[in-house]
Amino acid sequence: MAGHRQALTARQAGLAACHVCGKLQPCTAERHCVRCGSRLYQRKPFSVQRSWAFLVTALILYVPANLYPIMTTATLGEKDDNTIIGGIILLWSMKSYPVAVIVFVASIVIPLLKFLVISLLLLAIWKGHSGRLSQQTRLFRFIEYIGPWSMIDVFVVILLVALIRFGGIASVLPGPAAMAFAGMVIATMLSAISFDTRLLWDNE
Amino acid sequence: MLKQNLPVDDLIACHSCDLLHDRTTLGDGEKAWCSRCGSLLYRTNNNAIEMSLALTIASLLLFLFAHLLPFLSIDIDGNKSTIYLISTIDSLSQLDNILMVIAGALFLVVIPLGVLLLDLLLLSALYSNRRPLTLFARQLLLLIGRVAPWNMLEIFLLGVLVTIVKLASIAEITLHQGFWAFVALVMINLFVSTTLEPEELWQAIDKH
Repeated sequence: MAGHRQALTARQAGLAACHVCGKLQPCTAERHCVRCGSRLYQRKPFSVQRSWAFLVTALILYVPANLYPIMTTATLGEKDDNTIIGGIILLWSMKSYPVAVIVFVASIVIPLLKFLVISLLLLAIWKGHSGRLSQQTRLFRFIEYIGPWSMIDVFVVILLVALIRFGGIASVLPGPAAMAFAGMVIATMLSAISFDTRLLWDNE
Repeated sequence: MLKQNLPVDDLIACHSCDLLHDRTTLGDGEKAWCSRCGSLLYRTNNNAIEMSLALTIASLLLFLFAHLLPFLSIDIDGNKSTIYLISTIDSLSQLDNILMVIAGALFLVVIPLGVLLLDLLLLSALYSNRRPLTLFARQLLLLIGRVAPWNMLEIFLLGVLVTIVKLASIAEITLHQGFWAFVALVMINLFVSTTLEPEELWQAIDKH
């Protein structure tokens, strides 16, 4: 462990660690980082507002992403719409249990977990609660890491659309949910990027 | 409120909770953690740049193999065809769904290849330590930091595996060299991302 003499944050000391490169330096208004030239802030600007805005966007996109078909398969003139949930049920009925679980976790559990955790942390910042901050920080880093894994289903659609074209008999077309879902994942990632964990600790 | 007596260059602030710590010299391969929230502060890896450069060159070759060698064969009722990863983009472009083509091209080719090429430029500049090359190191590293979070190769690999399972009921799938090159590429990428810290690269740039 690196030692710290006094429990002092960079902000309390009038310093700022650059949000892009991490360089610690004195902070005055309208400054740019001495190392990388990015705008210098002690906290990400409008972190809470931006994080909420992207989270609400993601939540709105989550509705069409689950209601509309993510792809349409056509076999000999017979059209079949597949939703995300429908695809998971189909995998389960095919006895591909591990894959069904992976898709369920990636497409359903991770987005919901992300909505829940980010909104709870944003509420904690707003209310000025300081709970178990180390756990909250670790939970956020975990959510941030697993977020992009939701893209699995979008990649599966891209691959199926591309692969089945070569098969001839059947064809697969992407549905409106595919882009809604991709947009939802991107919005949750932007929400996490805008979130500043330092704000949690400022309540301590 | 600036405390003038603080030795700013010998301090580091935790990126998760902002607490200040004294920088201590670490041995090769050691890591320093925040005493308050437990996040990683920095680490020392004496040959990080050499190793990352070697692995980046290997990744670029594997990327070419993965895209240009046969990826897999799909056999639906005797209707057999061999598929190249690069032809998925071509196949997507035949739909009138421009967003899908852009998403496919970005996540499959542009972002992963872009990050690899930027890494190659930056690491070879730092490794060779020649003046004209290091001039753009800052800009390169800033760009890498912006693009890297959107690099989803390992997630795409999982997508490939799920697709294979989904198709297994209607088609016979055979995996080829391109697929295995892709698996190796993902493994190396995961390894590089756990060894190379941006802070280490920034310090290397600072020395020039």
